[in-house]
Amino acid sequence: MVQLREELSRRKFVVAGAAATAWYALAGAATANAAYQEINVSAGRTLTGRVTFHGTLPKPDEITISKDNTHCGTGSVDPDPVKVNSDSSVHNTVVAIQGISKGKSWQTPHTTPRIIQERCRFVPYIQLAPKRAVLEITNKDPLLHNIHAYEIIGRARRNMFNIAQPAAGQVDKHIMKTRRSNIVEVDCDAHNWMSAWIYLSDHPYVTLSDAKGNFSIADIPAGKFEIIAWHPVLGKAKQTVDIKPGTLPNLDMKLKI
Amino acid sequence: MLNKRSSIIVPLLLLFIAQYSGPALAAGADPALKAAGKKIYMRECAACHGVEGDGAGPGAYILNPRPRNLQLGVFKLRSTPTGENPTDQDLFKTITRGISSMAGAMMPSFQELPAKDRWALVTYVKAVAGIDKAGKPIDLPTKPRSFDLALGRQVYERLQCAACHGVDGLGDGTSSLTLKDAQKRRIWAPDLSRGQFKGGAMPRDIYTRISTGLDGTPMPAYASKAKPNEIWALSGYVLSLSKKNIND
Repeated sequence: MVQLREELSRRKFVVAGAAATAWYALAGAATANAAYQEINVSAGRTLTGRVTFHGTLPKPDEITISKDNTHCGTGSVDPDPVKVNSDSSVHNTVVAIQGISKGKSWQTPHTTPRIIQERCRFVPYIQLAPKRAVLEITNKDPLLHNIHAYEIIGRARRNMFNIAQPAAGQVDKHIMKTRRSNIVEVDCDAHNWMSAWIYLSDHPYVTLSDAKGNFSIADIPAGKFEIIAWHPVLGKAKQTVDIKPGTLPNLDMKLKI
Repeated sequence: MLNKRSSIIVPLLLLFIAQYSGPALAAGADPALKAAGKKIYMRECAACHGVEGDGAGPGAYILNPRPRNLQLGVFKLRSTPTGENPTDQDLFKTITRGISSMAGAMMPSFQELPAKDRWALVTYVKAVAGIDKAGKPIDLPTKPRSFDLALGRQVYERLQCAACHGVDGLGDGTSSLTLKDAQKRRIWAPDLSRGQFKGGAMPRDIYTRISTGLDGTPMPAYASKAKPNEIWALSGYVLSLSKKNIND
């Protein structure tokens, strides 16, 4: 009897172990296949709102244009300029819905992200792109730029790639592979005032606030979602919204450093 | 009833253990080799690179450049394109040679360790760095019999190496004054006339560094910006700054 019980118990353990292994494999596969699914969204809703900042503004960073003045200009530059309007609204803030697994499709220009180096500035300063998108990089200046992309993981900067472009007209393409984060910082080591940001998203439910701090995200399927806002200097904000029939709230995303 | 419940709890528990029993380890790594590597790592490497491999060991603060945060999986000395994982050989070579910078041998050579121990370290470092697949090395074309130093000097100018390394390669370019590493710490362009090269001073080492860059530092990859014969000429020119009669 004891023997039988032990045998049963051993079998149970083996079965349970096998089940766990299968489960783990499936869970792993599910994570790997957690790709966003594009579908037709019928009766999708539009979420609108505004991004604001109410705290004390950090001191601007002023970097002197110390070289290549013929092409780069003179004076000083703030690599990450911050402008808060008189009504506290903030331009160029990423607003993204979190954890949305299916919905509308990505639209241009996000499907073909581009960055241009012109007069020793990156254009655009901030943009959105799908995860693992291929970035097209162009140098319009007749001098050495190096496009140096980092994945920002907490306080660490993880080198993604670093490509030299020593002449005008050079174009490179490079995939943006990240491990954990959505945020990519772009630097030029040759000109330390040059700065740009790319927000990589799993899905197209992401936007940038306009000059008046307003934003709008359309075609959202029903559901309860977390909305996040992120600004390179002014920090983050988070809210939860239930997308359902009826009036939706006009969000005020209050950034905090 | 109890049986039913345990048939759910046991797999859950195993799942929990499987997920949280230490850092994620690269698939396919030989567990015995990895365990051996971990033991050697704790003895030889943790003092600088940290017990967790985060580059913040007790000895890190006196070193410049600082020890690498191995967890990020970014390595300066690779034979693979910028942004790609190093090969096992790349890591083995770095462990064997160490890394000498202008300030001296910041990472010592571990040549005195038996080769099997260094390979075990490679396995463990890859696990810490989350590297499951090695990158593909760049093509290394045949080295010319002699270097065209005049062409090398032209390529040095055309690729604007002087911006950081200076007109004569002394590390005194205008951009050298503002360079920072990935963690925003001050870093300088090396003085090429000293003949001290982090990844080795063989012509093929110089060719590889120019082509792939040194990820995590300001040195970018120039792979697509010059033809192979031009990169060889440039490699010869760089070496000629510290070594007279390089073509003899």
